[in-house]
Amino acid sequence: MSPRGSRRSGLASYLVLIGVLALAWYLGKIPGLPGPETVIPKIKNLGTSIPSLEAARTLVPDVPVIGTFLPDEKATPGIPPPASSAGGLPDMPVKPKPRQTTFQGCPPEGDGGDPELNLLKNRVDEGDYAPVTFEAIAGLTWPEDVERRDRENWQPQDRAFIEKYEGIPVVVEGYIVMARESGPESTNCHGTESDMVDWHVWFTKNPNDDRSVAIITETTPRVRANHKWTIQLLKAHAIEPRAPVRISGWLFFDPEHPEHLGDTRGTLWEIHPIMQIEIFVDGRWVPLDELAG
Amino acid sequence: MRKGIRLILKLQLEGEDEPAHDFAASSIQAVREMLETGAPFHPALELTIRSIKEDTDWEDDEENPA
Repeated sequence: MSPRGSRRSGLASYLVLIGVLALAWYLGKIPGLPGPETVIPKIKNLGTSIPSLEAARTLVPDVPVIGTFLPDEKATPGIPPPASSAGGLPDMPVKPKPRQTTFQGCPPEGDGGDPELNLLKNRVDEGDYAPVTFEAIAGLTWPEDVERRDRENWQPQDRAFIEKYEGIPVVVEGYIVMARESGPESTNCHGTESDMVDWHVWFTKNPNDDRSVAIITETTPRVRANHKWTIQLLKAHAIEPRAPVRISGWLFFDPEHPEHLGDTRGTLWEIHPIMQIEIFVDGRWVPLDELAG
Repeated sequence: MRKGIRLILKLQLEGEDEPAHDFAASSIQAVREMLETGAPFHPALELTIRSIKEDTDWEDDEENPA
């Protein structure tokens, strides 16, 4: 008999054995096991617990939960590149899992506040950044119910909406109109030194736009540790000459300060953390690090 | 004449702490105790602490202009 025939014969024997055992169980000939009169009603009851698959989908939206935060050595293992949509936000149902590190003793979830928010802000992994237009982010909406709420209190449908976009690695062109150090916050364990605070970088579509229409983009201490960026460098090469800037980073939603909309920001969507800053100099994009001298 | 007033305080606290320790919780508790400890020095005033919470708003920071 050929090896393939031998495998078929073995498989048939297993099937016969399983059939005999199933018949014996059904007839109640196997002591110690609950009989069919006990098990079958329970299986039928499962159908009443979950009325339909469609109903189950409304409870568990078909959107990946990016908040698993498992360490991941490579940025995007097995993640297909996002489908291009000509400058719009790509459809990216499977997002890279954030990778975080403890920085100067500060764990990635920070020292309080909303740990889920802090874990997202403290990611350090690089992504396959999708080129998108400024308008694609500035025009993105959000459910009003998520404003000023910790993520653990979001409704599932609201969470699903945000997570459809949050965690997409993007690269956007625009202008930096203002940048400054932020203050102590739970994300960075309330550190007060310059190397322990975020920078707020106001990013606009046009060189002379007001920050009331800006997208807030933020550099974090953990990412800056790998760069030579300084506020002075940003001012000298991006803000004062109003040179075109290209920012790469992670699309992120910050629900904390809706009161600033139309005042110091144009949207609650952010690029946070910034992973790369490039300035358009002499006809080419130059990483800010190269301008540090 | 009985009078009343509601005050908004803006305090900044700094101190040494372990990186991962919840600095907000412990400093809020400390301020609460400072106020409660000092209140008996002014028996004519009835103090009610309505809320103490962290100000996370650094976006429009008037004390730290760009």
